[in-house]
Amino acid sequence: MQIMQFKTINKFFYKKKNKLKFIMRTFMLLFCTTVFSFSANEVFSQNDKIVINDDKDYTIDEIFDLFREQTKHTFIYQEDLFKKIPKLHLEKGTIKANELLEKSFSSDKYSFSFTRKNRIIIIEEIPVTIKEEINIQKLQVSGIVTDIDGNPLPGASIVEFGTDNGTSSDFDGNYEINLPDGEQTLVFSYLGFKTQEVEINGRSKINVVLEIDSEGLDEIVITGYGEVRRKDLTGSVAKVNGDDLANLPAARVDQSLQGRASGVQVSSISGEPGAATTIRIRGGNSIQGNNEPLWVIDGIIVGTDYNLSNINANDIKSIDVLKDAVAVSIYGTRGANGVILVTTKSGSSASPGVPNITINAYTGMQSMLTEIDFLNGSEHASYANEDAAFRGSALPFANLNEVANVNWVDQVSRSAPINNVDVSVSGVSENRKTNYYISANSFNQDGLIRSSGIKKHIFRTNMDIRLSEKVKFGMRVNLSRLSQENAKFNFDELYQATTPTRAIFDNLGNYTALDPITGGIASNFEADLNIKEDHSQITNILSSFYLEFRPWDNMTFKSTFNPQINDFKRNRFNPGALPNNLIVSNGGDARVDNSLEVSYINENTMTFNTDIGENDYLSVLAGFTIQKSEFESSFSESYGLSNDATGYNNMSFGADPSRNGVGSDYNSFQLISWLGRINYSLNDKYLFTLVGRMDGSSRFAPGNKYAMFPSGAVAWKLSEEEFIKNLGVFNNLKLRASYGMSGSQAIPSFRTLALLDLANTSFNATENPGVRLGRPENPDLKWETTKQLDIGLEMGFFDNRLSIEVDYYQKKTKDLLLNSQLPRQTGFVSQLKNIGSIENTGLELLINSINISNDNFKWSTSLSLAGNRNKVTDLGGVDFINLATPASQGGTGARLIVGETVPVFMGVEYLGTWKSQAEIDLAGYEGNHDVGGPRFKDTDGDGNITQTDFEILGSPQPDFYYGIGNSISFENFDLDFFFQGTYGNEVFNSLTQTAYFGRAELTKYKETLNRWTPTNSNSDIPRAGSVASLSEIYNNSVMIEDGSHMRLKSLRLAYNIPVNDLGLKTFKAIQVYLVGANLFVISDFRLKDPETSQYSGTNDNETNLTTGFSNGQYPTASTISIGTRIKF
Amino acid sequence: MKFITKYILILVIGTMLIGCDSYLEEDPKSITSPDTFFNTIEEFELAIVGLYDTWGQDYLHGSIGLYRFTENGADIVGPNRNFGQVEQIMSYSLSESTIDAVYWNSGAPKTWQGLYSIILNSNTILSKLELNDVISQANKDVIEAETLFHRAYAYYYLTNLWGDVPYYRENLPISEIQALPRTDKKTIRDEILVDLQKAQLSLPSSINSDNFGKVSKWVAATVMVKIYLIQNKWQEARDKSLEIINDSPHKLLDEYASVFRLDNEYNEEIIWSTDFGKDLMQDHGWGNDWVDHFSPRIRDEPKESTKKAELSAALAARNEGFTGYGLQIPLPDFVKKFPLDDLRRASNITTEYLGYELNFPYMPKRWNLDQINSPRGNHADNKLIFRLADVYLMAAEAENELNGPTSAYQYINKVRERAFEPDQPLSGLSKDDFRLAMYDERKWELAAEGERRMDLIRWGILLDVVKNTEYRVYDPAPNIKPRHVLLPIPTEEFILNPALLESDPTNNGYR
Repeated sequence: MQIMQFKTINKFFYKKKNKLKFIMRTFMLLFCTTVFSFSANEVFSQNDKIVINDDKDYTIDEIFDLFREQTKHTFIYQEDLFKKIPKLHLEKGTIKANELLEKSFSSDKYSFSFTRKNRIIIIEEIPVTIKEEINIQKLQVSGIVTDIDGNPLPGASIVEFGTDNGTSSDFDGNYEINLPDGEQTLVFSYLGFKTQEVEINGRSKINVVLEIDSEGLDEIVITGYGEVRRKDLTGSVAKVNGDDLANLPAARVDQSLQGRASGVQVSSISGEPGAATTIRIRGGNSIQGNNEPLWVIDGIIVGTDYNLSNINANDIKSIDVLKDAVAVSIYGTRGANGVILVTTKSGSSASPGVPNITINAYTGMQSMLTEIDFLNGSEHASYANEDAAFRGSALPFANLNEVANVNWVDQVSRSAPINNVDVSVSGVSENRKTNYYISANSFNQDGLIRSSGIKKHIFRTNMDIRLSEKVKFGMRVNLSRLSQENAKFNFDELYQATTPTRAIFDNLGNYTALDPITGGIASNFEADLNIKEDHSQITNILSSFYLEFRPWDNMTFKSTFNPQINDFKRNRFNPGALPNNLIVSNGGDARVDNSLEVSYINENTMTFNTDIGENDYLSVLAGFTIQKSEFESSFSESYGLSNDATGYNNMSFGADPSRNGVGSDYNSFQLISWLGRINYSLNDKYLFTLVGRMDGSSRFAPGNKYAMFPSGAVAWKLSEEEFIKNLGVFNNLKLRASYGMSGSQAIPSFRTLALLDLANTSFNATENPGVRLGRPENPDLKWETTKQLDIGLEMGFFDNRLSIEVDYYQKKTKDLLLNSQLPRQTGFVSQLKNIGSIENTGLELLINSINISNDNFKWSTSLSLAGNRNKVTDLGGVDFINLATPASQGGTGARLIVGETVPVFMGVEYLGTWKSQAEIDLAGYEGNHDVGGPRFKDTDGDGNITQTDFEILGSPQPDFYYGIGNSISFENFDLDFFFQGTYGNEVFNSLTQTAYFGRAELTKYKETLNRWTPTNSNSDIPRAGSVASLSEIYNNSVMIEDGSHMRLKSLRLAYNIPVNDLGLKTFKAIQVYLVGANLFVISDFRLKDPETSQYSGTNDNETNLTTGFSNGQYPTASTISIGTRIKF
Repeated sequence: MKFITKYILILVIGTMLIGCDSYLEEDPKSITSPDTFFNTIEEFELAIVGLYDTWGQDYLHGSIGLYRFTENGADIVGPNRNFGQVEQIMSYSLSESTIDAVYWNSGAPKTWQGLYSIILNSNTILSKLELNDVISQANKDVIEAETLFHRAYAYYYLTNLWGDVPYYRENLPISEIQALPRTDKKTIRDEILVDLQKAQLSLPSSINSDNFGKVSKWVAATVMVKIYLIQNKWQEARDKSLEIINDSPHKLLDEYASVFRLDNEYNEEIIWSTDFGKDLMQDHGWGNDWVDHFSPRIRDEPKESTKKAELSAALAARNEGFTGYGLQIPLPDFVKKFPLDDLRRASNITTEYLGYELNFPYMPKRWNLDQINSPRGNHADNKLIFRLADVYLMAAEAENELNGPTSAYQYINKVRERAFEPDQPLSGLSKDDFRLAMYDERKWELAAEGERRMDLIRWGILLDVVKNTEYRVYDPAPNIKPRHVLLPIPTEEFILNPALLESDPTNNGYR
């Protein structure tokens, strides 16, 4: 018995105007014969004849039955395989078997050819003339088609140029094609890859590596539990290629993501190494809950607050950002804030058995991007004296010549190095059954502020192993160890509280402990830097193991298991030698925090693809997943450590046991989900997607545990329509629309339950444990639901060299979890309830343009531009909710108000200084007011400046935010530069309260040199001493500043050493590069970089929505680095 | 296709069988739910400790706390500069809009809430206690007595500050509590007097040292006297006072200053103090800062500014420092009127320290300069709530109102004995004159101990006194109105519960 397979899979071939046609068939034919050759005429022996008993129309199935009955040949094939082939009319009599076989397939629509490996290729819609061509085929070419990572590409199309003669590669990427003699060219194509033309030049074996088409319409977009070609995409997904993020000097990849994807607003919070960013995809949805997007790394759902420092940016192949409902709803209750999918590299571009080794290293220097202008020592001393004199108290500086002048920012900062080395080995085994990517990374970033920084060591192993033709196994394992040297003090305290008049050392050479103006104890930050210890160590294992079973080519079952472990330890020690401890003989104190988080996700999916009818295509995904996460933590702290030698390593030295503390915590949650997605392509013109996910969460009470989030989308490939083609304008024109729901879990574990809080108190100065009702229960809590409408238009012009994508979206979030205020007569202030709603609408524009594309000069530009408008539509019956109080005693700084932007900045309008006593008397304000003192607008006219006079003064929401990138390559040089920024947002600068208005012991802006004095009586900067208490300075319009800015986020110049020309055979490629990150920022903001934020909490009720506050955080670094990348 | 269907079915059914509902159960190992609590006597005691902790919070007896309403806005103390937390009451710009503006973290809305938190927790304890059949009746009585006291004491403050207030004594669901209208303060006072009497019966007569800071039966009795006085029930007030004077273990100390000595904070005269300890990890923070309000800050002192360094050094040599806030210091009026020969003056007013003349007067009985044992924000000093001298003066007041001064002298003169050397006993006064003398006696004796403003209101003389007092920083005389004897209910409260305006649409005259 010899087995013969008939096979056509994922077949492309030319038809009418080079249009690619895609079909998919699989079947087998089994027969017994003695001879086999290439020609159809020779399949059967000349003597094999078939007797036809009746004149009638025979189906192919019936004909095969005749073969089976009358010859020794048996055909095995899929039941409905031939149902589209027209019936064949046969007349009574006998016919040669070969002739009958040929006749059977020789309709207008089908032809067939044989290959050496016992396969018959059925080709649809090949003209009858093909028969003649088959007859003259003489040459046979074979080989393997792989992707750049060495993965075989099954079903790649191989077609003889200019003809319809073609074949496709098999499961292993192998192909064979028969060709007529002479010079020919083969055209290799595969979905998502760049089409390649290869001249045969007499070769009989041609292996082809296809490159991923990352920019074109065939670009593969990762959609969560699957992938799709961009041209078949029905949702809104932004893609960033790993190359754009590679070697940017930053500890976390999100820092580099800024401006790269339209609709994704990334804002840095702090310049501290390893600091997280705030990311808002299409605006914030939630008030109480988390607004950060969901991160999914290699399919592992890591949540919203995964420490991205654990990932080596150079391991990343691509980042896909899911934005609209149909894209995110596959993530159900966690998708509402958008989803960011990170895919790491796999395999290599190496030939089988020849590994690719890449060594990459850069080193850079960071310096302070900007400095803020404050009064210097003597200027500040004059201010303080003027202040004291005006208020009739003692002059703090008797002799202005003896005042210290310390630039504290200079004192505590430095130029800080940043270094990165990574090595990767990747390749494909010789038998092509295994591909691997293994990398090691060492990253070291010192902070701009001394005694801060991060060290990272990351190891990654990605491997895919084919166990058999139908079974595949693989893993993604990321091991990381982070050592973080934490900032020793809050930088904003240094900005605000440490004036240049504060000397570092006293006359005896000891650290000063007292503030020279107040005489009170105040931190000496230089001492903090040198003496304090505070560091964290994080060990993270992020892994995914999968088993894939593919019983047929069109069906795949995949089961993954993703365990994750995060171990965290933080050690802190404030030695007794700290000046503020020394002066009160406190001894030292130490604290150790430990936590361990263990979680797993198990996901089981089935995907099924099939053609329905001639031009329609159906793809179905179904899955079931479970997830569990457990978190345990503990801390201990010790006080009165008389001994500075052992610190946190031996806390039993604590001599003050009454102050020592211990604590522990436990947290867990479970999630069960069912998910499904159906993609249907009709006529290759109309695309439909239906997605749904049902999540069940442990966080909600019985009855509310489950929720279903469905969505749907349609896309219309207008460019496939004749009337658009006839315009001759568009290469691509696609209109798509989606609508659906996604959810947000928004509450932490155990939140539906009532709680007894710890309420310890003292009796006879000894602590006694106690409890108190902490919050009322609320079993009615449920998910927040976001309904999103998205309408997108994709256009391609000039052979797709100019592509434009525009998206309009509207999101309505309801059932917002809010701490709904309760009348305080209940003993509580609030109760968490599902009330309130928010609306976000926006427009996103993405333009990619290849301006010039010659052999040695290429220039492309990309622009992403997005604007989001949001509005509070309901707050559950109250008119407003107060959010943050950024300035001490300044009142509510941000408020949610029904009908207004989320949130708005609140404060009183500053009217300048009082110019005369008459003016004060006329205004009739209550309280004390001085000429030269600040005057605020009494909006409600009650003669009192209080929070009832607050008006809306601005909002952190920009009119638009943007990123502009240019990529130029000229011969061996590559130049990229990328600008990013916002326009039209306001920043609440809470430092202004003290640095502009008052309190002599706090730093002052340089501009206060021009303050009101009797001789400078036109000034609107308040006179020194006119502000006795910060409670007189409510939030006001001076604190609100324009946050519009433009930043040169990155600039990269690379030179590719022409290794081939130089005969450096050892190397595949050598690149040297120079990268500048954050080189400048253009802004009118007083604190120069408007992007830092006073608040960083992701789960903090009060601060979650309160972006746009600044009081001078850890400064942003400007970095210049040089590096090289060598490939062996 | 059959195989696929089968596979999916197995997958789906299989996973269903795992039992999603049990998989999705929460395991709240780290939190304590009231539903599963309140089983043993120890658990009830934990909940009672929680009540004390609430009293120690910044919006009640911690920090400046209730002094905003009971000491500021009267004629004894005020800040040395504008201070947002007391500005509204010191200048009597108090209104519906400014009551919310009182410093949000510990202002009037927070005080209102804190008192109701005690009521809610007390109701929960009482209802759980009723359901409990494990604890003995005797123990139940003690738990009940202590809980009843705290609830009554919370209503005592609520009625004093706001008059008619929402009133509930059962463990009601939140949805019912949040819609309750105001109840007549007379009803509330009558009922809490019954509670206090019950509490007095079962509370211990004296507190052992482990429990210093907890209430005895005499605390309940003292609150009863105060309510009787408010109600002009002179007979009951006098009898209850005498009960305390005669039956309690409390005695007046021989020396006024000794009452406030930190090395004997639980002396015989003290009936109740809120206990504070240094360095304690209480949930309201480390130690307490109420003392800092009375202590000077070095930037204000001394009068001769050139001697600042000298003074700092002198203080440092004694391990002392002017690290306070200077926000509760004697008013000029108080300094001027305090009799110079009164021995209590030194404890209540000083204008110099270590030989340095000071810019502002301070009240040494309430300050603490010790930087070692009592650093800024971390003081162990208890906040005195009631002491026996107050009861003597209340007995005098009640007796005078009841029968005239004849039998009242003994009580007032008992307090005056230690104030003058030689003695200056009062005698030969008319009933009205006695009353006026008693007004002053309470001012000198109990200055800045949380009584003054409530006394002035009770006597109906708040407006007169405020208009005739010399203040610093503020000028309340033109602003004060009769409505100011009560606080307005914070605006947010009646927005959230409109029923609060049903019985009194004027919100205590503020609208």
